[in-house]
Amino acid sequence: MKKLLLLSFVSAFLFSSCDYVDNPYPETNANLGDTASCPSPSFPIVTSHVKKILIEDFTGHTCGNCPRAAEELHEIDSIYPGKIVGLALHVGSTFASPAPGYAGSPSSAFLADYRTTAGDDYDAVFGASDFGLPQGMFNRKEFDAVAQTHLKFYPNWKTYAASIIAEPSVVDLQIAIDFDPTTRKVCCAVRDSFLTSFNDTLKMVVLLTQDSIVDWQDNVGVITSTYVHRHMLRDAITPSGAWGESLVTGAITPSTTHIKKFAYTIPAAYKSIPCDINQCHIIAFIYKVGTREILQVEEVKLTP
Amino acid sequence: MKKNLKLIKQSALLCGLLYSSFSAAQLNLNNLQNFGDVHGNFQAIGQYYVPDTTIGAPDVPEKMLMNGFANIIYTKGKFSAGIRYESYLNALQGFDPRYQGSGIQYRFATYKSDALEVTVGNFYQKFGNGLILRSYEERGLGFDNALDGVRLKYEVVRGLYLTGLVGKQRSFMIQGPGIVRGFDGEMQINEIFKKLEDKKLRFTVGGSFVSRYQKDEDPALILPENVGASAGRFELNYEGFHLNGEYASKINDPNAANGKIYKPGDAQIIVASYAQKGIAVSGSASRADNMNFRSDREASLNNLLLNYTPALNKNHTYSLLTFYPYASQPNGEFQFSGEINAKLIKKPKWKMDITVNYSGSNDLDTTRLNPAVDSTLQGYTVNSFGPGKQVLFRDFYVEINQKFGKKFKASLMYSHQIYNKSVIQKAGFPTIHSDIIVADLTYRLKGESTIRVELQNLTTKDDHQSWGMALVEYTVNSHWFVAVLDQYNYGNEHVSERYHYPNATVGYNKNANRITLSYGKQRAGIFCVGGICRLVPASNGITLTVTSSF
Repeated sequence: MKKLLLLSFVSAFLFSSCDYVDNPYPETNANLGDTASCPSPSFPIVTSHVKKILIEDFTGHTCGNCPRAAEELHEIDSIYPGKIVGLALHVGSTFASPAPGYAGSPSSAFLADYRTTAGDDYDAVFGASDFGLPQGMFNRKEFDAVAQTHLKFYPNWKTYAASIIAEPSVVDLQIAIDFDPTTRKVCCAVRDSFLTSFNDTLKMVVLLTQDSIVDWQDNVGVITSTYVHRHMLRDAITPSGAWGESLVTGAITPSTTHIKKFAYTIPAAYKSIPCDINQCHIIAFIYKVGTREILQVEEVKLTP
Repeated sequence: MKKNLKLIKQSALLCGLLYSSFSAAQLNLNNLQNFGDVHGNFQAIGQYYVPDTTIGAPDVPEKMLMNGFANIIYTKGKFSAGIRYESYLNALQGFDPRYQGSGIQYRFATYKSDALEVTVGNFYQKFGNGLILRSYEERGLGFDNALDGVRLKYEVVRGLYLTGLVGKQRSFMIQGPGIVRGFDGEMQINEIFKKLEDKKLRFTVGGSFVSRYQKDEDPALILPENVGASAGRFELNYEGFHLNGEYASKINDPNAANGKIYKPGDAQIIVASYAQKGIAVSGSASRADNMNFRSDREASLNNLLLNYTPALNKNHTYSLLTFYPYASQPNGEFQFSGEINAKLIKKPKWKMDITVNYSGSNDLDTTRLNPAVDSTLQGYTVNSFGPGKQVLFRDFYVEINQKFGKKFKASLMYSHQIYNKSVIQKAGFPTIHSDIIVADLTYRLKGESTIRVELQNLTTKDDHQSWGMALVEYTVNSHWFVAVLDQYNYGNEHVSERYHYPNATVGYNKNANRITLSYGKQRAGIFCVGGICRLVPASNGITLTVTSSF
């Protein structure tokens, strides 16, 4: 009888050692402030409707060919000024992990880890680091249904950009910012205004980027400490992360508008790399949940 | 290839160190004569590397690398204790570089008193087929996930066995962060009930539970800190018939290996076999769905694995048969295997037997969920219990062994294999279809002197296309042997890359000691034992191996 008691005690203890999680997301993200104290945003009247293109550049600091893709992005931006939004995502373990002493550099080099939870989430779905870097996406369009990949090889980027640059705008996006440099809290309101009717499930994502971070890079075989890393993804501002907030489910008519408000406190650094508020940008975009295609993207600088 | 991989040894310094610790141990024990026994074994493999850009053998800055270990175990009656000293200065190419330095990486003490056995320190333990717990070591793979903690084994009554354990797992030279708690019970029905003792039908049932605790430090997600897995199993034997099955499940366990999904996991395995005079038939099937279970949710590759989903495919030993080996895919696989083995001629002089095996693995029938709507991070849904459409691996294999009188015997093997490189190794590669033929001929000269020839050919239009291999091994006597072999990538799609990989080995055995020295090139490839694999880079150099037991 004693043995039986002991046995049931032991098994009760063991069987209770299970944590079932129904909702994986914490109630609030540590950086997310409440929007209640944010001032009401004001949005100017939109006079011209322009469809912009989000070019996502999956990259890494020890990826020697990646600067070629960044250069390609820069050239496309200068061909279509004001129509391109760039976003650089360091992903994968091969090219984006910290690599002190990489290729004969000092042991203090290549220490940074620019990977982000949001970037990892995108990489897990689009598989960029599995295919090898650099890789790019253009408004996350498939282009070719047979290829079954959103990823595009950089020598063809100009062709892809040219093929969608003239697409008409279907929705206007505006971002209004209120930023307090002392508390580093940013209040961000995003207004959409639909120009055509839709019957679809749409979501909105807001991201924080940091421009012009000077750090080590393998630049086509030349190891340099002064490479300028552009449009670096730092974090998702939307509370549920990389895949954003629900915006529309079902039918929607032209001239419908929504205003979504978000608040976020920018930390002093991400993984020990300081975040300079004067180089920060906010990117917002709306995408179709089914195909993941981005309908419209907008970008504003955090500080004047 | 087996011999190439079992590379060889060196490091006079280390041997000296080990030797001095041995003599110290023996000295003390000599004073305690009749107070117990000491036994153990020793192995050291040293490899000297020459860079070779043609085959892709990297420049090794240390020039020479060495793996060595010695087990020293003391037993006295119901008590035993032991240590394993390990040394990686630095680890051989192809072993994880986190094996670095030297030290006592394994030590234990066990005491058995009547029905209770207590172990403190390191131990290995497997519950059932290993679906929720298998802690073991495979030195050739550099795999060791020993537990360090306390284990109790208790025989409640004859035929009823309980095991309980708590510990942390080994991760190279340190320990993983997770705490592992496990419990297993097994009932051997025929032993418990006296009435059934002499029955031909033997029946065993068992059940186990394993839970891992690891702190949640993720700011973005709520992670389960206690992840439990449970399993139930049975085994029955009736004369030549054997049947064994197990079912396991695991609760939500988002980890690096499954892409941080919260879907629960499950696994099933069933193995049946029947043997009677001259013929044996066996069949098995298994399924694993999201069963990657580790004591650290961030661990990858072979590090800190808690469980094991067995690979059911035929285990080959010949080099070209193991060119494209299957590695079990605990994230999702449906495996099957069937084998017939028959003795066709039973006369001792002209013995002939044949083995036919067909095994394979597919993915599961699942649908990936769109992350934008997957708010509880389930990752995917399972459409049906059966296999999915994607082939991961196939192997159709025939082996014939024939004796020709007292002096000559021959083995002939054929295998057709399909290997889905994108899933098993790395995304972005085509599936490889290959046909392999192997002939192994042994001729006995006089006394213990034999000559053995292996001829192998692998034909494929994929990867680096066709390969051939020839080996001649001459066993001079019970002490000495020499072998030469060459692997030749004669079909390489680039004519300039049709390389030879020659290798020569000399070996000496005496009593419990064995020394082999080899020189040659080794192609880059994968080396597997039981479905767990490691990548071996190309190398060119000298390898010395010394093994010894006492």
